[in-house]
Amino acid sequence: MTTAVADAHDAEHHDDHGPTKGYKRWLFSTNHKDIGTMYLIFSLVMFFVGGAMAMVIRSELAIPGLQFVHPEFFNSMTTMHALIMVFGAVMPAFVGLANWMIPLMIGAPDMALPRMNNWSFWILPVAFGILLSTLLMPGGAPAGGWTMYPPLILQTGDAFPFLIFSVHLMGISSIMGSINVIVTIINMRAPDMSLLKMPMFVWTWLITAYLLIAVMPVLAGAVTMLLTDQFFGTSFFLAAGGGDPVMFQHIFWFFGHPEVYIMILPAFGVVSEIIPTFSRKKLFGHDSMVYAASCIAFLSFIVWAHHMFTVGMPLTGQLFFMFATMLIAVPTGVKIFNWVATMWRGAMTFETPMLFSLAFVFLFTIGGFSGLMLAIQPADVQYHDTYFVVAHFHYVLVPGSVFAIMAGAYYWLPKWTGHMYNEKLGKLHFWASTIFVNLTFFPMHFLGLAGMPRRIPDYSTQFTDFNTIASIGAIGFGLSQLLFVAVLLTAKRGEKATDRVWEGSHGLEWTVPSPAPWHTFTTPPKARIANEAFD
Amino acid sequence: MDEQERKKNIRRTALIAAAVALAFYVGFIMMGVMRS
Amino acid sequence: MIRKSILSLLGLVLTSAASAEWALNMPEGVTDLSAETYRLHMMVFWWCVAIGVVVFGVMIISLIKHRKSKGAEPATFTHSTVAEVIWTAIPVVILLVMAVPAAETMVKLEDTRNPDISIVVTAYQWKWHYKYQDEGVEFYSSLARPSVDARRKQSGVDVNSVDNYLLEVDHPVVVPRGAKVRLLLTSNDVIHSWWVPELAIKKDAIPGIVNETWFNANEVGTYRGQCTELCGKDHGYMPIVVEVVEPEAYQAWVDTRKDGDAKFASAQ
Repeated sequence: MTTAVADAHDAEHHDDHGPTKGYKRWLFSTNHKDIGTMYLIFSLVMFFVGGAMAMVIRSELAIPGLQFVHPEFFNSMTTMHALIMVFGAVMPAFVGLANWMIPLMIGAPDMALPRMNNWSFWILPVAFGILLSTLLMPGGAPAGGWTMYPPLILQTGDAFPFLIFSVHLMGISSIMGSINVIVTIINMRAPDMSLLKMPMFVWTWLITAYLLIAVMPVLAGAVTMLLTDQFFGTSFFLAAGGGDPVMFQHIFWFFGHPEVYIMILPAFGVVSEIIPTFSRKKLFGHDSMVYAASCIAFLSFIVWAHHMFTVGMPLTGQLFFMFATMLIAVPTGVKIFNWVATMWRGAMTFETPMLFSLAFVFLFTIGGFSGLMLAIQPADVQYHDTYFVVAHFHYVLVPGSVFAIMAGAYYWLPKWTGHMYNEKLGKLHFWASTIFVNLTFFPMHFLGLAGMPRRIPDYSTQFTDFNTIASIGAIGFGLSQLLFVAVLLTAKRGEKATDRVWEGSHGLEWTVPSPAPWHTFTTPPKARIANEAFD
Repeated sequence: MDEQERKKNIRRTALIAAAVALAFYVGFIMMGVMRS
Repeated sequence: MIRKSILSLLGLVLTSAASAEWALNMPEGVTDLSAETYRLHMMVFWWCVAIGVVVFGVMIISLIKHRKSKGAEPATFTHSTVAEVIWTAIPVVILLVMAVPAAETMVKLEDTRNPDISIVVTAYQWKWHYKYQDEGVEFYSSLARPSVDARRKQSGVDVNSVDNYLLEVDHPVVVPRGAKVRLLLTSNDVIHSWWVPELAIKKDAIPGIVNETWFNANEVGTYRGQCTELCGKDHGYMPIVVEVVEPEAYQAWVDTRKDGDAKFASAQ
């Protein structure tokens, strides 16, 4: 196991030549910037793959009657759409941002374990190659939902072991990545950067990494037990053998609930970097924000069964999980109030990163409201497994996590490329995305309340109008993302970016040139410079 | 802190984190075994 | 006065189904507990609206007033312990206010004691089976024929011409108004879930487990629901229909079915 400093010594050897030329630079990379770039590009590709599946889903659901796909294939689409978006788009995007920005933000030359970093990334294309190949197998791709409940998931055809294997691979990638994040943050901060002095993006990633090393192994355990039930004669979840299908749900959601916080905490971190910059005002309540994020992370471990309110849980259990779930609203609210207080009496400008961040605050809050409604158990009896839930989680994931990823991309793009991206195109991308995302997902609240279940390829005719609107919104949203691709492709045409890029920015990452040199902070930043950059 | 010490710390943190991950994996499977 | 009319208009819009196509809200339903559930739902909804108005209101004011283009100079405050305490404490209080009635309703929902009728509901891929414990009536309930014909891919049938498309069955569940009906749910294969919105009950049907739930319908009528747990390819095609009838009509139905079942058994 080498350290980043040793690598830096080696690299100084090669520095005058720059990075290796050709594919080897990428295949064998141990550079956090290159690995970050690969994660981000991979995630963008997966976003479009998952998005294509969403297009299939929304095309079929545009009007009642079955027009385009068979129900089995529809179920594969919903299953694969979720697996790809969660594990292939959102999570790798945040890991990409972490790889790029954490070393820069703490004044470290690279991640602590650069070779493990390489494997963390390269496992992913293999995992998703395997998962996507199941579309071509007899029996088709998995169609039991991304939640993989037994016994249904055991009815998957030839694809089953490949599903399990690819989930194991994704898990290993995440676990290695989060070990790297923890080790880097704990051991490689610049002198004088105490934990509480770290930027919020670094803090939220530290917390996220702890969640990851705890719960990804639990998912691995759960799918291992599915595998042995299917092939090795065990009966963990099979009633006929004395097992319990509900136990799978407990284990899965013990992973699954922290997982959704894993997908949102880095988003909180990104937004906490951007809003202060464009308000020209320090983040309000920095320490409070750290405590709130930690509180959310802790609570995320004890609420899992709110995904299981109709499973037949004893009353005491239902009461406990309802109260604990409602409690999470408190630290989450604290964070929202702090962002608003940061804006309050600032001097705001509205460049694209700020627009996405502001939309995040608005629309994530709406997602949070439907989350609070879902927490109320008797009401959840009516919402569970309906489109109300679909509306809730898409609000927190799309104008939540995805918008934060876009915000971060726009914010840090000039640091990565050395040029200002096309602001007009960025704003167009923002407005199109925001309008269409609401058109797509807001009507789903009504559909759920009116009684439309989830995961159905066709529906009773009274659900037509809102479904049609949602499908139009989805197509619009999908097409709007091409604007983002255009921004990326023309990213290097803009004017050269300064070191600081944005007038109100603070932090060590803005003390290095734009584009950031392949090696940065090969010697730790001087305490004085470090301290000023924190202010 | 010198390089050797930093390397040792990095190794130690990484091993602890890996041990936590392993503990959760094995622990949950054991729980599955004991409950069935 | 204006505020009252706006609020009541909003309430009217949300609580009525002006036309089924544009339904915005869940039904109040036909049981005491469905009404309680509806009230809890509206309570949490209005709290969210109130908090949203405050938070979004402050945001919008700030977005308008505190712009650099308007010449705003950024303030320098960075924290306030008082503010943090206040906006932590107030949400906790609001949550307590909501949690109490919710808990009360939950206790009632769990009370399956002293039912008048017990029905064993067994879920199959992809239909339901009902067995009335004491009446000796049992039958399968599957998607009705017109829907079956129309649902096929490119069936050529206009689904808008099918009554209660995907929500009609060949043999509905019949129960008497005013009786406490207990359902015992299980499954023959994978996990399914039994849901009728107007009865406000939803419970999973799990192989190897018997779940219990109950309802007591106050109004005669036909109430439709669907399977609400992904159960394979025809998950969307195994609806539930509950017909609540006057007690005399229920007894007549039971007698007819019993005769019919007996004739069938003896003909085997």
